Amino acid sequence: MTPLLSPNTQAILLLTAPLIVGRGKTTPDLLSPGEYKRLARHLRETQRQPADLLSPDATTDLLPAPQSGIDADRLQRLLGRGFLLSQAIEHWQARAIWVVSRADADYPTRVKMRLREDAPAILYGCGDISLLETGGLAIVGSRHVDDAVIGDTMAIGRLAARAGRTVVSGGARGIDQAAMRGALEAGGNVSGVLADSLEKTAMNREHRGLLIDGQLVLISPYDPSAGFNVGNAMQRNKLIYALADAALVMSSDLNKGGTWAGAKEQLDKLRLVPIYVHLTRGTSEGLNVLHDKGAMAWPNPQDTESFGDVFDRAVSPTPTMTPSRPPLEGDDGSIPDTPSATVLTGQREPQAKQEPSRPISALTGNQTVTKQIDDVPKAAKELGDIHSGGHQLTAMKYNPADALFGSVREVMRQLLRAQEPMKESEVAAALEVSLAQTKVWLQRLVAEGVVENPKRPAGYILKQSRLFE
Amino acid sequence: MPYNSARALQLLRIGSGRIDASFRNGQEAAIRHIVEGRGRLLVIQKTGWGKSFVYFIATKLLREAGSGPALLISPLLALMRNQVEAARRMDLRAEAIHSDNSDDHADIEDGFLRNDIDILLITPERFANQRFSAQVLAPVAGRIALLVIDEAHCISDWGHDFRPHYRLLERIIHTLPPNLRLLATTATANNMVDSRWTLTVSAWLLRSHGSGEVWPIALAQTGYDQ
Repeated sequence: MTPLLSPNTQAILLLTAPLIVGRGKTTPDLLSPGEYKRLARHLRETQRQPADLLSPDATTDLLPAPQSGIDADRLQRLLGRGFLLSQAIEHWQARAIWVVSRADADYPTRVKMRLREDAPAILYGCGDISLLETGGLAIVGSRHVDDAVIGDTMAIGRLAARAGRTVVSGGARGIDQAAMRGALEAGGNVSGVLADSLEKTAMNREHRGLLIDGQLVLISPYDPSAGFNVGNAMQRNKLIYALADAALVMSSDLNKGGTWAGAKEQLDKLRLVPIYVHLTRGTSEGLNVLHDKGAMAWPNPQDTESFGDVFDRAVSPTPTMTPSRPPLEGDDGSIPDTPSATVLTGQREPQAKQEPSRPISALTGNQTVTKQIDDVPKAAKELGDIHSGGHQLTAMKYNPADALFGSVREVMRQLLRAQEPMKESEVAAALEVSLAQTKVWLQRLVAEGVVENPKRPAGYILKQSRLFE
Repeated sequence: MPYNSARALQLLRIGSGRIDASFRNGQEAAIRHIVEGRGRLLVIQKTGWGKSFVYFIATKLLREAGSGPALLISPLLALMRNQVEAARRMDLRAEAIHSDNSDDHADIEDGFLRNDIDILLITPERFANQRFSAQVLAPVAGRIALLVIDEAHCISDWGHDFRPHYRLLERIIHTLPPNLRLLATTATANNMVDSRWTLTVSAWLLRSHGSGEVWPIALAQTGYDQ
């Protein structure tokens, strides 16, 4: 993969990535995730995107206020690392490591939707990226556990494989590796989310065949050459939950360790997916407290059918499962979270005080990837045409014409994502509708800014690199 | 980065050793284009037109404004002694690493790492060398301000003189972000450079910016087809 990086991805890498190659020292003044978040927000508010920073006419008005700590000199220094970037990409490509940014269509949908602007700006990976769209069961736990728990974990991995569910885990020793090994040995799919050493792990002979066969994908938000770092491991946990449809904590210390912190954060704050704790091996203080905090007891399914049931549980009885957080870059922040907003989930109560947020529930317990919620332009939300994988999101005013066009828009977005623009006649043929109808739709999408029609080569293509959608 | 026209002319006169020298048609436009960072540039000119003044003066101006060093890749380094002399006259620290000066390699590499060299001239083979890449290039890579690809017709199957190590260069150019200053030059003899070739190379340089934005490319072609 990594054929050509979009200018947005190039800009984000230049600003935030250490770009480790050879004996090069890492740049000390990279934008931190928080700083990049502020910059991205500022760009969004001024209708710009990161790629604009690479333009010869980039001016200082692209920058947030000086007090943000992101001054023009620092930005220029970072953006001036273009030659280093090309060296790094060469290094990654030689190792079949790909890179996606939040600006790319390939960026894992669940992560983007659930973590919003806290989603890592860059993900590195090796293997089939589309595995990340399959959700599955996150299995997490400590590094040091006894053999019985390892055995249980491997068995659950095998069962997941038989049930056709992906296992999401962290690749660390102990529980992570047991879960992954169990699933892989049974022919299942695994998404491994690493906190360090992606390059080394991907080059491991044991993984190579699995990566090539598309059974395993390894990703990391950290430079492929980066070594172990405690802080990174904590951040990585969020990603594991965000990629899955449900999570199982096999073991946990109480009040310490990454497993504890990650699970507690989910239960107290994020609530991205239903969380289970594995209580079948007697008592564990850590697991018991997580249970008290709202994690469900793992029902210990023994067959694929009852295994599937664990994904259908409600997330939790607590009032809201939509994390309260600001909109992702690209949302204009004006989408109100009131009954007049068109997209409401059944179980959601209008809340007295909550920042704008989006329904996230549509993803849980459902293998269908519901890109729509995030992708459809705001215009569509106003028209109330959204329905997504299985969950009908009821709109206040339902208009069949708008609903149809909403579907058209989504289909076109997939269709016109190609490398080369498509001609009207090709689009008409692919949709099996009249040329006249096709033209009407395409013109409307061009007017909306979803699609553009370049002159050379002539045709229609999805508007490029939309970080903000 | 603002372009200083008076200083550029002064450098030309110092470098050429002629007090009344003035820029040839297209030369100054090319230098300005590079210094201002206006996008990739392909210069096709006959031997003797003064392509080397374009990148030497541009490098000097960039260095005087505090930029990092330039890297020039050429298969014909041994033939560039005269040009390097001209560079030194304008107080530009230019060094070449090639097979005829092996004894100096270690010193030159150290100088490059210390930021004591303004423009380093290397061959495509050196550029592709693992040790050189990891130990000499990598530590400086984040500061390189200008990449010059001399004899650009050697890249891949564009041209008549394909060299395998230009494959790496081709990939590198593909992955460079649009804001990295890139100058490709070629002195292919007149009758060999037809307009179709020019179009091919230009299209290729453009394409490698990634789809979407088209960044400007200027062709300093003046004088070539007269």
